Amino acid sequence: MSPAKRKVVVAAGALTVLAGWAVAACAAEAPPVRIKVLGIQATNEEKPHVDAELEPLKDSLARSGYNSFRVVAKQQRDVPGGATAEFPLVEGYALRVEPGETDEKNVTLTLVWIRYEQDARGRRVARVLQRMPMTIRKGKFFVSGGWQLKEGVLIAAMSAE
Amino acid sequence: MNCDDVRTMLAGYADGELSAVEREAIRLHLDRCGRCRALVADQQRVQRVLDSYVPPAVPPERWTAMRRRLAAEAEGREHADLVTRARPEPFDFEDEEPTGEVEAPAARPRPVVRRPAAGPHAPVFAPARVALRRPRRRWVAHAAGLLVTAALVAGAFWTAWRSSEFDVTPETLATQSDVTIHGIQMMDPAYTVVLYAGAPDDLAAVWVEPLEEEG
Repeated sequence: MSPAKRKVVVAAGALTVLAGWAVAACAAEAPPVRIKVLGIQATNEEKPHVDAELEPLKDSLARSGYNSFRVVAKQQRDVPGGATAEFPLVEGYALRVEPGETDEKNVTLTLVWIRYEQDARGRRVARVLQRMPMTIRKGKFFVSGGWQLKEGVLIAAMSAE
Repeated sequence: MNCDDVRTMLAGYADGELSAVEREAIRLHLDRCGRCRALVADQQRVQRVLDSYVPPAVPPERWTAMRRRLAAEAEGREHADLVTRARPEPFDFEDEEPTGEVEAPAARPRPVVRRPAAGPHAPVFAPARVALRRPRRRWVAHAAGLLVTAALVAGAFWTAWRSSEFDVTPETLATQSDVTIHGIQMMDPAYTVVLYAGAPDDLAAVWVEPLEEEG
């Protein structure tokens, strides 16, 4: 490839990357629904432990029957209505959120728990564990979980606004 | 020695101007680099074409004038200085006075020359331009690449920082009155839903619990 062509290709590549980034950034700036997901590992330990940022939730989380809670994932993403966002958690678990209609106070969405596993051929496949269509007040965290981890269980708090 | 190093030295390699060590390094590189070998083959093809080239007749006074100018140039300059010159002053053939002296074209023209050549068609300063432009282009490309990389890394950090900026507090926890669950489909037969109801002001939560295996 001649230097001139290479220059053009490099410039075109750089522009494409920047344009893609700009488009993604713009899309993320003005989406209809902002989804927040907090992944929590709950365990029973001799010496109970609760991460500092989970301290305000200690009483609520204690209802799960566990005494120790650690944040294992924390993400937020702006998701256009009708689109699907997937939030990877730990040990192959992920929370898939499919926002639907929204009004002033509520968001209708479907919450899907999935787990990625390897099939007989060693390919990574998603297995749906649970589907929950729901309507939730904007900004309120809905708690769901109990999925087994190597140690303890996985809980997620999810909100939409 | 990488491809770029080798390519800048190929002309000298073809002309036999390099030291034994440099020649050996290039030979070793050519043994294992098909692209550079192809480049050499291309250069040799061009060389063959140029070898078969018959220069057109040029008025003798121009040869003389050019030779005079070259001699004047060479007097005040070292070879290295000549090679690293950025941009030579163009010859102005029209200003030269014809002398009437006739000189036949001598050496065959070469596509790339690293020293001041006396041949009538030798593009004396072309290698200097090539030698300088390549590093500059490379520097610009590296700078552009660094800028783009830095922007992407900054964007990734910014996105990651934004994505972790929220808190869950008791006030933000949904109670049963904040949530309407339209149904639960359990696809995993190993689990069952153990809690899905409560008082309106109770925490809205859906728990699953593994089923104990029978037997």
